[in-house]
Amino acid sequence: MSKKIFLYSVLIIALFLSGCGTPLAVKTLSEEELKTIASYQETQKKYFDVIESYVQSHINSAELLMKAETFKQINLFKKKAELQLKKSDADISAILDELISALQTVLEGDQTQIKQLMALLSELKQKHREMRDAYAVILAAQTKLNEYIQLEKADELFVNQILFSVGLQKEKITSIFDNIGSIMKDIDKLSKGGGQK
Amino acid sequence: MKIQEIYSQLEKCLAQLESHNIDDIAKIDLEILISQLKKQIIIGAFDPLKDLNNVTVADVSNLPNLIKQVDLVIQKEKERGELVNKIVAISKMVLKAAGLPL
Repeated sequence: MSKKIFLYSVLIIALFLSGCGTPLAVKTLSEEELKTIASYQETQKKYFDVIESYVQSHINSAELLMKAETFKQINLFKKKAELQLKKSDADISAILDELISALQTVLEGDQTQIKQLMALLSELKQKHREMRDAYAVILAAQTKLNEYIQLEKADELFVNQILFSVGLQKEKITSIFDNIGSIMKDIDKLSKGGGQK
Repeated sequence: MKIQEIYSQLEKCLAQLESHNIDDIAKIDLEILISQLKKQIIIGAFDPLKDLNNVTVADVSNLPNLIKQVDLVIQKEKERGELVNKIVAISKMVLKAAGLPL
């Protein structure tokens, strides 16, 4: 009988020293946080896709509007040249050169500006890629942390195995410790209250 | 003055010329200018994207190394666990032999 009492005492001390392992609440939070981060990664990906597609559509619209304006400008330059040619002292060659140069400038300007817009879209996509990559690393780090948190540590394993062998559950022991702590506090309060009187 | 305000002023000016039936080279130049301004407004709508250069992505370059370190810690913890399993098994056998079965 005294041997058993000795064994149980050793077990309780071991459990006390081990800190009772990672609390279930911590393990649950870690697991849920990991799920949320993974889910958020999907949301982020979809969001980036929508934004990229939205900007692409706007560039397409801008291109169409620019073409319409260019068409209008070409007609205006032609009209201007026609009016200049009607003058008696008109320098035909100079007027035609000016017309060609103006049209060239307009058309090249459009191409340059559309290229600039496409470069901005590429930059946006690149930034999204960088953010996605960074988030993947964050997720990997959280996954690794969670793996450690969920891991049954050696001291925890030791206590669990011994307790299992003697037919006890770790949660029960933890609960007993909590109850003892609570009773101790009550006794402390009572004793202090008694002292004041 | 914003580009949109300049555009409005020029449009008003053009409307005045048209109301006075003025149709000369100066009016054509004004129309060309308005059209060029319109293009600038279309392109200007994308200006906020230029601020992307100022957006910095969180620096996670340290994390892969730290992940490796935690991985090593996990491996060691697993090894310790295996050792504990062995020790407990042997202890049980010893205690059983000594007449103290767990």
